[in-house]
Amino acid sequence: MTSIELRHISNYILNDINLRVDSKELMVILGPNGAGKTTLLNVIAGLTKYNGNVILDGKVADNLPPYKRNIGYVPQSLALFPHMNVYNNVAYGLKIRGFSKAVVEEKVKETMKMLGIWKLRDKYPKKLSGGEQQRVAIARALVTEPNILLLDEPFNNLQISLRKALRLEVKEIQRKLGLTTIFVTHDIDEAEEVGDRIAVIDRGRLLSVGSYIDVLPAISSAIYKLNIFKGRIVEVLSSGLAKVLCGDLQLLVPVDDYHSNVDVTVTISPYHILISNVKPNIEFNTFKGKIYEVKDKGHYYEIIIKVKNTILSAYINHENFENINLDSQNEIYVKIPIRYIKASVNHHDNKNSL
Amino acid sequence: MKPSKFNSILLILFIACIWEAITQLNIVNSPLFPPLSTVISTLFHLLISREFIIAYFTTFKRVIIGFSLGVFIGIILGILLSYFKTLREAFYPILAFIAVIPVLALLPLLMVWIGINELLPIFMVFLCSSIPVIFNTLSGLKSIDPELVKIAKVLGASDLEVTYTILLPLSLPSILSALKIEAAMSWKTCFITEMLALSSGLGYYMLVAETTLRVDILLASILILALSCYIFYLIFESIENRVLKIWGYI
Repeated sequence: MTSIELRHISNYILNDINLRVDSKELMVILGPNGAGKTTLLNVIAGLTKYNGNVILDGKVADNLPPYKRNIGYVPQSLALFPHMNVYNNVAYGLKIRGFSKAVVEEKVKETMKMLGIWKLRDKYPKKLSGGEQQRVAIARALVTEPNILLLDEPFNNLQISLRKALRLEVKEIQRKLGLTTIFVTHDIDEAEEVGDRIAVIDRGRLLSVGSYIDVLPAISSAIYKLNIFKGRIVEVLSSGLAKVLCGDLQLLVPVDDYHSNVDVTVTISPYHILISNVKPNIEFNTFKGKIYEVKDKGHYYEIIIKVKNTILSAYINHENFENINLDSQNEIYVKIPIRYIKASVNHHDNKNSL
Repeated sequence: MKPSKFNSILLILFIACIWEAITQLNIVNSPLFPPLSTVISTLFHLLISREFIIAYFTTFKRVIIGFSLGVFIGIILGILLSYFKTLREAFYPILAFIAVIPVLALLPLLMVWIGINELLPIFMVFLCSSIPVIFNTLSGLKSIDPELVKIAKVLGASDLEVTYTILLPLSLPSILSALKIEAAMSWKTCFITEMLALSSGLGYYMLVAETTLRVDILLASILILALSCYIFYLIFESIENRVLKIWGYI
């Protein structure tokens, strides 16, 4: 299997990108729209011009045409050939490479069965659901037995439940086939769930590479500002929740089997912090605080709130803002819904190699 | 039968009855307006007349050769122009200029240049069919998602393979919509060229009928010409519908 190394990659969007993806690793490229994520994939696939070096499996690949880089590519639009049925879509790469009919059929059947789409073989792409189209695009990328798989926001247009199921499936396939994979997304949750490591890019620059917790500050600056706290689990409750102490705030946080006294990093999206003048009925995750500063950000206001000695940042749209009396130094109540708090265990054995 | 088709058949039958009635009842009594039954009987006579069959197939041959050449060369030129930007920039204005000139306006000029021979009607048909095919091939190719080409290349396709496995099939609907209109246009162009310049083919056959005031032959020939145009149109329309249906577009 192949490792990918990018050395000083620059072009009309990218600016001196250096990144190493180990063999069999699943690297997530995370960044906002227009950050240069797709361009980076196109560089690796040899589909766009660049300065610098792409090194695949230790060999400089800059002069290799796309197909000689042995890459499976699932673009954002999926780009299924609309004039071919599912079978011919998947078989395209093998046919073009001149495999015999019997070999093509065997490999196509095997790949399509693995993805559970063999029964769709005679259908045309227009007649497929979003999830089915997704699987066809993945099958087409895998059937040529690539060393590297590039997935460009593959689940962008799907419902959340389907996205979750498919990304687990993709991860499983990636593990099974031991494919070196780059998965591009702008979704923070997706990045955390899928990636072995995450590379955060913004405006053509690589900001940070590492585990989810390592790159949280970069995510916070590139995608949207997060409230990030270091904390420790003080008590695990039976309901999949735990009490976490972050500085002087005690939060009730959803966890997956974490034990007490485990250090965690807690993130709270500023979009989901609720502010009210009246004391909410619910006791937990509700705090009394003071407004420290109000910043007009155009589409929304950023409200900086001080709860005891902790600073929280909350985004509120104009309409809601006008309903609350938010003069500075006003006392208000802050409520943080459980489902928008995320706790991740701090591992100390993360690889931080670039 | 669909109600729309039924209604139109009803109207045709109604017109046919009125036609037959006013001629049979001597409301209109002129050799220049024969009854429908006479026209139909002439039509059947024409279909077995050696002279007519030779004239018809002379025209048919000219249409087929000119049209096929026009389509073939039109598609190739369309692909070349789409592929080479410099070529496109150079040729596009000239082609657009030629496209707006009615082909028949070029007939006198071509009579002088080519001469009055078999090449003249074929070249006229070629001209009238190739230019729209070039434009529709270009616009068909232009509308193809560039991501499809990108993926085909990643999967190992060369430029030539991309052209015939992706670009050409996907521009087919656009090309077919040109063909279905130009096929009928080819018949008309050939027919008029024969009338104005030649001494063979369906156009000339009708010209002779006109000099002998055989209105029944004129009407029967017009019917056959119209049917020929319509059948060509139907052939390409059904191919177009079939393609779009298979791909799930309709």
